[in-house]
Amino acid sequence: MKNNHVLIYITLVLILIACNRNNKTNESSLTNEEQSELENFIPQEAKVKIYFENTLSMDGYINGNTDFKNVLRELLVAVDNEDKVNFDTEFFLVNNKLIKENFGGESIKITEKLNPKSTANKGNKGSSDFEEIIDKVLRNHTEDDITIITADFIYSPKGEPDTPSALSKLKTYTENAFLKATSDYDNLQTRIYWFESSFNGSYYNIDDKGILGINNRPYYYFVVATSSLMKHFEQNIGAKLKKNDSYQSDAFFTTENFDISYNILNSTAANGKLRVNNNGLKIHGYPKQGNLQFTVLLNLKNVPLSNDFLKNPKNYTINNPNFYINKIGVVQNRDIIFDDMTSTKITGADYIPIKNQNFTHAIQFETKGMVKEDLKFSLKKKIPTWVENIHSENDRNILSDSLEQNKTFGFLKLVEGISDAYINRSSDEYYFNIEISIEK
Amino acid sequence: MGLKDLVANFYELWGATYLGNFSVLMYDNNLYLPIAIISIIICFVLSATYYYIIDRPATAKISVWFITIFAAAIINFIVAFVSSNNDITEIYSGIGEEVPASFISDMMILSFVNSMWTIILMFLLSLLLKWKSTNSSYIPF
Repeated sequence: MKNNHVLIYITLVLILIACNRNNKTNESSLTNEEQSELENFIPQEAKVKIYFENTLSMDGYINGNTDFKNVLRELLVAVDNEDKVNFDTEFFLVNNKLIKENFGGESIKITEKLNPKSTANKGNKGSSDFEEIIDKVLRNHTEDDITIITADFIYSPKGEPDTPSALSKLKTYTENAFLKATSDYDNLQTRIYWFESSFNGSYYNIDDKGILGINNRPYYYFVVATSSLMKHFEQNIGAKLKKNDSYQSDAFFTTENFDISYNILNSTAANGKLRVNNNGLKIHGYPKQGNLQFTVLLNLKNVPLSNDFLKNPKNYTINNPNFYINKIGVVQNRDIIFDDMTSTKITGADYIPIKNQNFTHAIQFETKGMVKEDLKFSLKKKIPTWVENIHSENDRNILSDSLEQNKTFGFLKLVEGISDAYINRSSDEYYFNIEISIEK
Repeated sequence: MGLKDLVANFYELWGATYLGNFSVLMYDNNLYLPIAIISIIICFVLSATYYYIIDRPATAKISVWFITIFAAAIINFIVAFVSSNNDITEIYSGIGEEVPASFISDMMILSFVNSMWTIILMFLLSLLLKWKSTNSSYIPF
């Protein structure tokens, strides 16, 4: 009988141990963000070289107080007030000649002096050979420089009758200039900022005919710098310029590939019985209604691309025809806000393992039928769609065509030249690749 | 397949009782294994108690054997329910949330599965342990 009491006691103790056992949850490992921050060495001193395309077509942007001048003033002030790096600003007028100019005053006051009269007789204002300008500017670039070219980038075919051939030449020579530059500096990056400005001057069309009466025109900043300086510029100066109402969009070019941390969600924004294991996916059961869906969270904080680009499903390639991207959203705290304005809260079960991690974007994948292969998806290094939208190959009717007034002749070819140069120098034509194993 | 997956398969009956978020939490936090270990120990202890410690002519009856198995099933039902409830409550408290109400039925299902495996294990242990029992060597047959 005594033995029986002992056994009952042991059993009860075991039950109590089982019920009060301390739980050990999975502690999520820290991301490599802090480490990569340390690796991004920024020089203490650097030069910001601003090149203004000093041609007749640019006179409309500097005639009076225009949006162009406002943004340039903001740029000069932001550079002057930057604390982490001691920037020395140099201003150049560029056409057939490269002329360093400060108009006899401080760099931040340049916009006060910049007008058609002050820039007259500084080189040949009738020349706008971009292949030559870009080549000249990039040759003047050194490692600790941030090079900024500001121009309307309207290509002038100089009476060449065959427009496609002239544009092809533009693309080839631009590619050549950037191939040379990227071979000199491994991690040289280029960012294009697109702005709109009020315009008080003549527009010169494909036939080099001056047209008056156009009140607004696009223009661009081409910023070239090594990766650490580019990141610093974008975060501290570019971000300020983007707040200006005249800012439209940007495009980014790099040879770099990025390591992305990601997490697959078991139940949030999902349809079907799923289990995530070691960042692979096991399909326990297909849904009774609709297609199988699951969502992947990505940390794209260190990918220096615009949200528009990151949220465009057309910029992603998927190896497996079973899958397609249903929608892309941004992560805000525990909510995913998708492009269709639907908001989904990440479930407790999905949130617990990732509560110490940061994710910026969410991609919801959907399948067509049964899944047979693993999923590989990548973000392609491609030109943003806005560049194609503002490209023009015939600007003869610009005065009567309001859409044409917001376009730039030959711009796509110029950007294609840059893009091709970067893709040529890249080891991979994707910004990142992610592979998810699927267990059927 | 590791031990974690093997144990999860027993509790999720190879997908038949996969319960979504509840199963995910149990699996991710390795909560199945302790329940399994405690339950197996309880089965051993109760079987050994029946065959070697109590082991009297009066208890060498199929009815007493059934009562022992039933007791093991109930104890292990409680073990699975209380253990999963405590652990999952603690996990949710880490994010300042209550355990979802739907998890109660999931815990019941897990506990029933644990009881089912308890009955099977108790039966198998009976076949192994009965031979050396003085009075109960013919129980259950």
